[in-house]
Amino acid sequence: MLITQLELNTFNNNSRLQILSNKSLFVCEVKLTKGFKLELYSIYNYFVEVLVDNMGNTLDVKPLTLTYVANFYCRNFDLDKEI
Amino acid sequence: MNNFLTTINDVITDGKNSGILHLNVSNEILEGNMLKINDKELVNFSSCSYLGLEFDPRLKAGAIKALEGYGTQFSASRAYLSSIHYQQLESKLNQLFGGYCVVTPTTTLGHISTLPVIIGEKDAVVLDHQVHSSIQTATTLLKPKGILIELLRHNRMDLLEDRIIQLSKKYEKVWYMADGIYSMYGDGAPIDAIYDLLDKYPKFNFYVDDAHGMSSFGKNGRGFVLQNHDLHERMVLTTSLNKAFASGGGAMIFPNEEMASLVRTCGGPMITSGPMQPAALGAALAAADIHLSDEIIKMQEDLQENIKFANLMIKKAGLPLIKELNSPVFFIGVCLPKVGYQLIKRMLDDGYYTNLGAFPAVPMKNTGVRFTITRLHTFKQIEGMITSMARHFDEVLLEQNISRDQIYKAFKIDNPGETNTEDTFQPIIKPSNLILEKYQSISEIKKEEWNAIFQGKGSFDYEGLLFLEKTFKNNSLIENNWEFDYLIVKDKSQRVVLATFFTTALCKDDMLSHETISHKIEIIRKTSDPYYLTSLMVMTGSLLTEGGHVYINEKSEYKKQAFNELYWMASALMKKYNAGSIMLRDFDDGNTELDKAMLGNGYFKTQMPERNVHQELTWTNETEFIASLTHKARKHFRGQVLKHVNLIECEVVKNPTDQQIKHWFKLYNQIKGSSFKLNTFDLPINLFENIANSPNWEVLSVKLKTGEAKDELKEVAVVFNYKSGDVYNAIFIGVDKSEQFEINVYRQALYQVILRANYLKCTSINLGFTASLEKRRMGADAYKTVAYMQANDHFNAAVIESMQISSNQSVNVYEGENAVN
Repeated sequence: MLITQLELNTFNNNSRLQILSNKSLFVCEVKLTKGFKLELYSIYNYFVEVLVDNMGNTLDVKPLTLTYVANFYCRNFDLDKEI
Repeated sequence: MNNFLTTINDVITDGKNSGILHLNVSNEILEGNMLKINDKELVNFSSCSYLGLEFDPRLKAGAIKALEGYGTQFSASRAYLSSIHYQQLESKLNQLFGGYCVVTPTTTLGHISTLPVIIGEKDAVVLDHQVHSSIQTATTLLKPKGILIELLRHNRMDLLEDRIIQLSKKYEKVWYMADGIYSMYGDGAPIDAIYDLLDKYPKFNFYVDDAHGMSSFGKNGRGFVLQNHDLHERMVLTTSLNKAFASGGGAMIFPNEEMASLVRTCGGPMITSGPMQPAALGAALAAADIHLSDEIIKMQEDLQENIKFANLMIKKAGLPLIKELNSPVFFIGVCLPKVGYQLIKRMLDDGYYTNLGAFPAVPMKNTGVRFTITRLHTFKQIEGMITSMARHFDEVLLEQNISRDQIYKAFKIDNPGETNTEDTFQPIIKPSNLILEKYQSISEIKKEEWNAIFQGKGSFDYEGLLFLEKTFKNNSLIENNWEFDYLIVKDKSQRVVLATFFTTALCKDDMLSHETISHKIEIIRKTSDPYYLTSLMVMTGSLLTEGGHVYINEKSEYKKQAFNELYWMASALMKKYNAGSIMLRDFDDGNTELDKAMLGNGYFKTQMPERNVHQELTWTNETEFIASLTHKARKHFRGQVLKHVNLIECEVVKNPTDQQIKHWFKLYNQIKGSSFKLNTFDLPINLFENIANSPNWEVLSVKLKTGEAKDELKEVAVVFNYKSGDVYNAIFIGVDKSEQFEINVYRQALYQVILRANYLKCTSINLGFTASLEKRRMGADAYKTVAYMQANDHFNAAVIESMQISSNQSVNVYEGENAVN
């Protein structure tokens, strides 16, 4: 069943990860310094970003605005190719 | 078995036969929330171990340590010796709850230990109608002491306050007993309001069972009740260690050491029953350590996330959740047991195990799928189960011809999709091969058509119903005004498949109860409230008719569909007249197919008094009549009836005087007032006047020759009869009970009825209910008769049932000023 961005916001990080694992499509990742990375997932019509540390621990899971995705991810990746 | 137990047995057996109750898990080893039933892997949605602590290695280790230290048991009464674990556990629980704890082998034994000790003879007890049965059972121990016990409608704080005020005038303490979280719908007690009452009224005391709230809520998991409050000084909190605490036993938490000590010393099972097993105590100690650590906070959060997700999925699936709360117990309404059976079976096939929430835990037409969410469930499992339920839900409703709107109406909650509130009890699929005719007066139906079905069946042929409609309208007393409704179901060829009539009238809820119960209730009706335990009832037939009120064409292929129309019509009338119950009555006992169909549609079977029919009227003289009787009956007839028949004169009265009618009314009241076998309201005097003026009724006046010369005639009995076709119906009787006569007047009157019917060349006589022995002795056959009942709620039935538990108890009921439905 569809989970909207608003609904996703009401859950904690662990729950959001559960929802992602069931309902999302991995899009791409951005490597950060010190082994940290950002993973981008798409759920239906919105995107979710996951911040992972160098040990593989999830530090944050947050739904994104389309503007943010366009400004940040599209600058670094050719989404068409990645997907 | 009494009616109540029979109904429980029927419901459970039906569920068992449907493959959803009394199931056995086949796993030797359980892994998380998965289990096997009949070798099928299922996700368990029925566990009350909400935090999933039963698999925590620390609890297992605690159990093993205690087991290795003490063996499988430490078998000594706690009055003599307690293992070290008890003291340790009670100490930890004192810290956890901020009170004085006594641990008991089960919560039920805890109630049995506690209530007789803490409730004094000068106290009064008010039970929430839905309080857990273990508390209700324990309060039966208080009844022999004469302690006042009242039932209160569920969570009605306005009524509770009123009772506190009233009872405080007479009693030292007023105890209210409730659950923290109720086990069926998962709703909670209004704790803030109860604390306000505790602060406001010094005689008010609160006894609460928070078994389902334990661990999942509050600081250190101290439960739903204490999540925002400390233990009140006039409150006893009881809880289970056998649910989310994942070990075993019960805990009674008292506000002071004195009370705890008294229960430990004097509580019956504390002295005479065995203790908890060491393994359970060891696990409980480990569970207590987890509760006292910060770890419990994360566990509670995880559970709440799962609960939140389940609520979201249910909302998205559009399922009728009865109460949306943050408790781990969920209840999806399905209205009728047959829908519940089907839905649960299909979910089992999909790999999900849920519970049926059915009678007696909930009213019959408030059946539902009950499931629980634990911390061990994954979102995927939760979504899978709810998707499965949603997928089958509408299919099952369609198959069983139930609408969602009906479900919302049955649970008295708003239908979010409701657009049209008119005629909401119509089936969702109109059977295209049936024609429904509904009327509100017999005068709207063709006389020949009605009589072709019902003449000779009883006193409800066309003329008989015209008479009843005229008599039971525009009367001063509410109970003497009946509503009439008629249903004729035909197939496309205009053949009648089913026909019946309904009356809706105010009835006594104890109508079919044991006489001793009715006797008690009548005292209250006479002294304080004439409408105590009464409610509007929709019934097939009427209070003044007997026999086959429901005609069904057994050969019709649409029989089942036609019965569905009967159910719908009854439900629609219940809603229309705001009635409290439905009674489909006067069916022959032993029809298992009908029993099953009725049960599936939310009707439970109840025994009526036997119906007596005299069918041997072919004799032409007294000798032949005697010959038609059994050997034993002949002896009785000769010795008890025939011997005195020369003292009797009988006549059919035409054009009686007002004086005579009044005398009949008096005779009727004399016999009515002495019998509660079928407890109904008294008939009105205008009925007697109308009978006197009706050509279809016959009044047989039975007179006894009295005086030394036997030359004085005294009217000692009167029988009111209705002739329909070639069937004679003795509807009711009046007998002079003001003095002892030398002969049995009732038997003579009965014989005169038989003579009259024979004279009129009738083929049979309907002799009515009750007095079967006397009627059998006169050649009648007694037929076991049943009714099928459905109630909006079981509050009044619960009050009557509780009166049946003990004959010397004092159970009262409080419903407020405007309690009559």
